[in-house]
Amino acid sequence: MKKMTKVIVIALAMALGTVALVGCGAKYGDDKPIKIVTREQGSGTKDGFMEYATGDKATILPKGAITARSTAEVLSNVKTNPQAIGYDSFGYITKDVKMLTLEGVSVQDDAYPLARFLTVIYKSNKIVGNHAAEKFLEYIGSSDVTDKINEGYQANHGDLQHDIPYQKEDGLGGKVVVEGSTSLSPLMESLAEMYKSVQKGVEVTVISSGSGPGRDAIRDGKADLGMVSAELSQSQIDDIAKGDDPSVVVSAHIAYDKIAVIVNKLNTHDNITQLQLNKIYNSNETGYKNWAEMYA
Amino acid sequence: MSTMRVGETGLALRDTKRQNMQKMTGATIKWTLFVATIFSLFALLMIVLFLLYRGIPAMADIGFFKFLFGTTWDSPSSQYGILPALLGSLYVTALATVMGVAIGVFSAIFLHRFCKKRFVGPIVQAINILAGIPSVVFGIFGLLVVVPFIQNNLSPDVEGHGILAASIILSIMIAPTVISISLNALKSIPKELFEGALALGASIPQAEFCVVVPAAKGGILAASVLSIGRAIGETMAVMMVIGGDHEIPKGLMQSINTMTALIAGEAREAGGLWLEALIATGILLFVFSLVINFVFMRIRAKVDYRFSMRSKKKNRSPMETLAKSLSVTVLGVGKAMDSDHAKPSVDLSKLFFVDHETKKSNRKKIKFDVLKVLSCVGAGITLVFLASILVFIAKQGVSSLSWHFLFGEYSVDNPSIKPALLGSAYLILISLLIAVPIGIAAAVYMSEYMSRRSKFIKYLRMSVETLASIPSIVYGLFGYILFGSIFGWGYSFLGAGITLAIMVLPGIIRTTEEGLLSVHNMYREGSFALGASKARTTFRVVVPQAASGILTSVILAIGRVVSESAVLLLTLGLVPGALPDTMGPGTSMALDIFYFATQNKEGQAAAAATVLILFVVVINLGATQLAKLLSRKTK
Repeated sequence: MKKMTKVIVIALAMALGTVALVGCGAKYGDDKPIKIVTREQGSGTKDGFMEYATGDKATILPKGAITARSTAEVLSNVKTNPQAIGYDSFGYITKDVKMLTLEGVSVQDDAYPLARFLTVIYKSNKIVGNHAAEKFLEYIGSSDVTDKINEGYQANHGDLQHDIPYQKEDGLGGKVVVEGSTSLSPLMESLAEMYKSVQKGVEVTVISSGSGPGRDAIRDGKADLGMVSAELSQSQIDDIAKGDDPSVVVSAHIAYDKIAVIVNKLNTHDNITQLQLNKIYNSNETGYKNWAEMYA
Repeated sequence: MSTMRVGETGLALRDTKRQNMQKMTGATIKWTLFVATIFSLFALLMIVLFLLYRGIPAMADIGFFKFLFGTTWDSPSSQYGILPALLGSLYVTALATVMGVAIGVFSAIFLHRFCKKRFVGPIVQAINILAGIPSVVFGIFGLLVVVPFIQNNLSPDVEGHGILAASIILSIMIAPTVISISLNALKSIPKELFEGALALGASIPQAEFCVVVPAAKGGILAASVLSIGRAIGETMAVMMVIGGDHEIPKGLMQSINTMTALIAGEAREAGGLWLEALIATGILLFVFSLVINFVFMRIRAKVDYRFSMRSKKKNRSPMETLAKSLSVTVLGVGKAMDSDHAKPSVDLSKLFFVDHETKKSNRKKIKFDVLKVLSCVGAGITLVFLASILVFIAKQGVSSLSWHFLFGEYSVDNPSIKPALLGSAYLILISLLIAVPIGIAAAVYMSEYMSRRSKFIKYLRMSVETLASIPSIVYGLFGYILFGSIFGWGYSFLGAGITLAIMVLPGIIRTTEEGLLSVHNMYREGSFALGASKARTTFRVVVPQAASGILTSVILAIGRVVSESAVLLLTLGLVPGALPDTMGPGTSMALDIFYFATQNKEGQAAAAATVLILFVVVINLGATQLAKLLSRKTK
């Protein structure tokens, strides 16, 4: 009995151990359901994607969708689930997942239809009180940062200029607080770091919290600049103004960010259309039973 | 108390002037201690008030009935129905508690009876490590290992998220506490009971399962109730594996939501009524913790408190002391601890005599052998999970570990955890500077200055225990509103530090009080007999005796501060490169792990986690050694 116990325990432990470490047998099945991965409510990436896919950012998703709370969580989910489909900021995509072409257009292509502006917001009457913040705003819109932005996003696109070089101001000092969207904060942290080497006296603090807190911080005067990853709605502008005239709320585009549609690497398909996305992500549509039906 | 009067009389005979002065300082000390004691009541009151102040109007706005029984949670249309997340929390908690308690209790039985003695120490140490792993690490492990495993092997429609994944992760998280408390309870059962059963013809497993385990059921029950509290309040780990779809749960493998995941996931994006609806959810969580706490009280009320405080062993590891203080203070497993009072609840003769040497008895013996195997399996599962988590984290993290990563200057492209290390150190400093003096003072007052039978101490304990049972995310919301909004500090080290201080305070009070109560009365009596005043006796004699208990409480508090992330996310903000600044936002070790994990830097996340786990292990070991040293000194 004693020996048997030992054998059983060791066998069980080893079985469990290998299973836990290896994690076996991920297989893609065309006849198996589509697993929807989305972002949480309030995410700018979600708003941008849903606007494109379903025509309305407030569309309710079908039952059973996985809500990922960050860019990395979206990737992890798509990477580990062979049936998954998701979307993520192009700057974040790694080789662990596969990007689909959208309506036949590759995400690297300029004509790629699914994208949004990453935006910095501020109150024009408040920012004049902080010269350092004004100068930093000038810096992030200048041609000095074009290369940095182009590493993951696009700097010169449509409304974006980034064509005037930054004018260094000697002896400039002060503090700038930037708060908001997690999609924008890594870029902003890089820009803040670069700015520090240009204007040594200025301390830029970037708080990575979310588009919502970013808007609130501007409203309450806790931050000089707010980062949001979706266009402001009129009600949001009214809320941010709070006491001031709504016209003081300014939003400035910083970068153009494409949203890539991603699937697991085992997935056999390469292209998707706006119509198909609508059927997948819109609870008012009938949807598809499985991957095969979508491509039938 | 008569001893005290004798001591004071002795003093009075000597020097009246000195006596008067001493009386005055004595009174000052007493009042200072009293104020510190009241603080915990005050903190609890504040939390309740602020939650209600922000949450109740929201419930009224949404409609009380709609909030509780509504099934849609949609901010654009201002619909906030909590029912799916509420059910999700309940299901996850139930399954996790069942699995965690089963694994934990069987592991404890294995360690107590079937494990070779020389392996017990190392295994217990290993389990302490498991207890020190921060929940965000469990979350990463769950997301990258457990969820894919379920979806590829168990789920027919390729879905790994949901109740099953969350329960597995949670059960591993609660197992160490269950093991510690149950093992402690089992150890406290007098040997005579076990030997008696053997003498009556029982096999070893039979004696263990029929006599020792039933006698220790108080401790095991304690562990179970405690795990319920832990499971319902856990945030980070659950959030990453639950799926997050606001749907009524219909199966084990389906994307659903829990209340904590809902709050932590949306609090940072929310504003206005949305945020208030989340606070109302916090009230619900708070109510649940109150109910669980009430169950605690009912169980404890049945046991005489005095018997629980007799300490037999002096050198104890922090985990053991925690376990003991939890099991003892919270639930009074006192009965099981005291040999005169522990009576087996089974009739021995009935069990072993009646069907001796019959087929039935053979079958019974096999049954117990199966139970024995199960206990080995329980321990095996715990250790395998520990090993897989450690291997997983180390494997992912080792390539990112470097001198620069630890101590270099932070930059976005080449990050380091130096700001996080400093940030964590600063948070430890602030929170302990507040919590340790208040906590020790309160514990001293409660154990030395109050009658053990007074009604007031009952209410005090109740408030301390209620504070201890509040889920950390609720503390986070409280700090977020009070310091961030009402005081207007925004994210700040000070606000985060105070919030953490209130969070660790009940633990410090409880562990310190237990240490003080375990100091034998003869020391007090001896000191009084020599003419020392009450204050002198307390601070020169009793408190030094309890030094190891106090130290343990401080160490445990450090561990909690270092691995906390949910609270800091809401109170400290997240600025990965920022060096500590009292009124500014910043980062900490656990926050950095969270940041790296959410920014697609898994290697760095794992490396930071490795450092954090090592740190926790070091403090754990250091505390054990220090406690040993201290107790040798006092001897």
